[in-house]
Amino acid sequence: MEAAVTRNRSFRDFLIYLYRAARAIVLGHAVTLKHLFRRPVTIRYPEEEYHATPWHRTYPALVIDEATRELKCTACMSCERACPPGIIAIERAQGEDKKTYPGEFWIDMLRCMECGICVEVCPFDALEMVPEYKMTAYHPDDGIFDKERLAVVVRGPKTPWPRRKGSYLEGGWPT
Amino acid sequence: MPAWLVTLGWAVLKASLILGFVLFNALFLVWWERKFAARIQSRVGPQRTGRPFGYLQSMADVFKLLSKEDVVPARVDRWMYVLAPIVIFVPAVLVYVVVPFGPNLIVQDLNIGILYVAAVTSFTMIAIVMAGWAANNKYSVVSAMRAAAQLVAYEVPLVLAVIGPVMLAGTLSLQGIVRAQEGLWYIVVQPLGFLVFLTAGMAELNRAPFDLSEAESELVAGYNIEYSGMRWSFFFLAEFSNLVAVSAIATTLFLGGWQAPWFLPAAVKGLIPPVVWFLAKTYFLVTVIMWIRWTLPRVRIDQLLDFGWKFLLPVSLANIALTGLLFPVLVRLGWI
Amino acid sequence: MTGLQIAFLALSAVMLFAAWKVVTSDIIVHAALWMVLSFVAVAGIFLTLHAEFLFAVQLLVYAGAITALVIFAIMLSDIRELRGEGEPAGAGLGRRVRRLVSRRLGLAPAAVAVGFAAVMYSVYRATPWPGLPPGDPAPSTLAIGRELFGTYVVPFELASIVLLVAMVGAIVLTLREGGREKEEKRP
Repeated sequence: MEAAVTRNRSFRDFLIYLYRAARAIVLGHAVTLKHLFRRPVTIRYPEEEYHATPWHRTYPALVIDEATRELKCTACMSCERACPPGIIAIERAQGEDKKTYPGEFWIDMLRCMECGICVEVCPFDALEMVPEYKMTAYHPDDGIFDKERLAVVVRGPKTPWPRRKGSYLEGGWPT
Repeated sequence: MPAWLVTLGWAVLKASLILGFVLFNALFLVWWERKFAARIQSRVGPQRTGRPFGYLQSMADVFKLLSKEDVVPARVDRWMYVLAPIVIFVPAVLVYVVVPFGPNLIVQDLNIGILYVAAVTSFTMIAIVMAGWAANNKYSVVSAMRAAAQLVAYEVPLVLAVIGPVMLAGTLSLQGIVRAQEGLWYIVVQPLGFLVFLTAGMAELNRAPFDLSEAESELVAGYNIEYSGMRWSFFFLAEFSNLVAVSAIATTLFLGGWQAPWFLPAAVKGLIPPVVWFLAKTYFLVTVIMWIRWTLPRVRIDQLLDFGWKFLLPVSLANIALTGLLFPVLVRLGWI
Repeated sequence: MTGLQIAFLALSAVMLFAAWKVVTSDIIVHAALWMVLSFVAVAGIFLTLHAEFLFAVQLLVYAGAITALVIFAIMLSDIRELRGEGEPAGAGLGRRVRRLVSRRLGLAPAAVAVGFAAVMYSVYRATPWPGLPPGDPAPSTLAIGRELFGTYVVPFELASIVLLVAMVGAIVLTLREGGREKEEKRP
């Protein structure tokens, strides 16, 4: 309204402005009315689950070699050194074949900032960011993930994405 | 039983009925507004307290507010700080004295009805200024000054918009205006007046897009910034009470009050009691105001005042002139 | 003594007390709010006299609009003046006396007050007491309307013209030189 009312314009301009303003207001209400009858996009978490895509990167986890069924990690300590908040702790152990492996491997998930630097520096691709997002715990001690909790088979079965008609996801995700 | 006791009993009964209506309204509308806003934004809104629709959410809010610590900040203007929530709540309730819920369902049909409404609601401004000043907070003072400027600017078109129906009905009594609309609702002959009334009414309510005095992104919270717990909830109660009051007055003046739609046959009219018609129309208008709130963005203060003084005021004056010119024509047509 | 008379006396007492507080309050916003209370008490007095229309107008115009203007005047005033700077120094009786004889704080308000009192007294003397009995509440609004637009139509319209002149004058006085358009074009 302001521009049309305050400045010295012709009455015709004012009427055109008024028409446009009224049209914009009516169209805006049509949009909100349409949304009123749309299905909500909310996912009601404990009852409904959010299915993250396999390439969703939440926190670093230890990769299990699918062939040998053992951890790929050689306890080279690169990640421990590279971790900015310094929350990775590894106890190196040595097997009978002189190969080193992590005897213990802890990540303090309460302080992990999920930067992914450990994954970047790992020379053996033994760390991966995983799509798992349920990291809640009842006790702070449970926020420190140990070797068992961290070990995962990466690239497991792909979870289906709940696709809706008309959603922007229908075109599919870039691969 | 002595006569004065009967009078007193009736007065207490009516007062408690109004208070009950206002409180129930607030409970319902808090939930309704949250649900409505959520759905407009493709969310679901409250759903946990009182599954599956979260209908107990407002009760939970009430218990939370009741159990909160009553904080009076240091260096507030104590008397004004304590009085402001009461001063804002009382007129919000007093308005309902003249609102006709049905042919006989009215506390007191004053012959100055609509003038009484305008007079009583002008106290809201004083309460807001009191709260804003007393809190000793720069944001609340800015908010109070905005509210004062806004309420003064929009009260004029509001009252001028009311004059249309008053001219047509020939009375200030709200019950009289409703009875005059038996043949035709005034929205048909007063569309301009209705729009002006609704717009100015929304500005008087401090509701978006005119919620400058509660602009949370600019003023943190507004004039109620330092209030908490039950004191704060009084501001909220008053706000929702005023929302229903504006809708009820608009219903009374323009939508035929408790009258059934004039075009329905008499047999159908008798099916639904008048009070249901009245409440249905009122809550429809409440929902429309909520719809507007969740659609339009907030205006700037200069836009707000320009719009009020330079657009709404001339339009409402033109509406009065038009009504006066069309009056003989409408009488000739038998519409009024 | 009837209930209405008691109400009248109580409201008068409230009004006088509030009016006293308006002049004696140290904080100017408090003075404004005491003024609201006195306006409300006057409205109540109108109600006890069955003048419902005047009651509503008193609330609407005085408690609503005039108060808003007063509050705006306060908020737009010079803060130093509100804090009491420029007032006569000293304390106690001497300061009060000096205040009373100073031109701005004593003599000018006194002159206005005396003039207003004189006008009110002349009106009081000119009115035949007891005045008209308080009319039936029902037709009062209608009666006021008929009187305003019938008997007193010329004074009514004259008052409107005076107000209109005042409004136009206010707009002219507050209009900045050159208008808004020019100002916006400035870089």
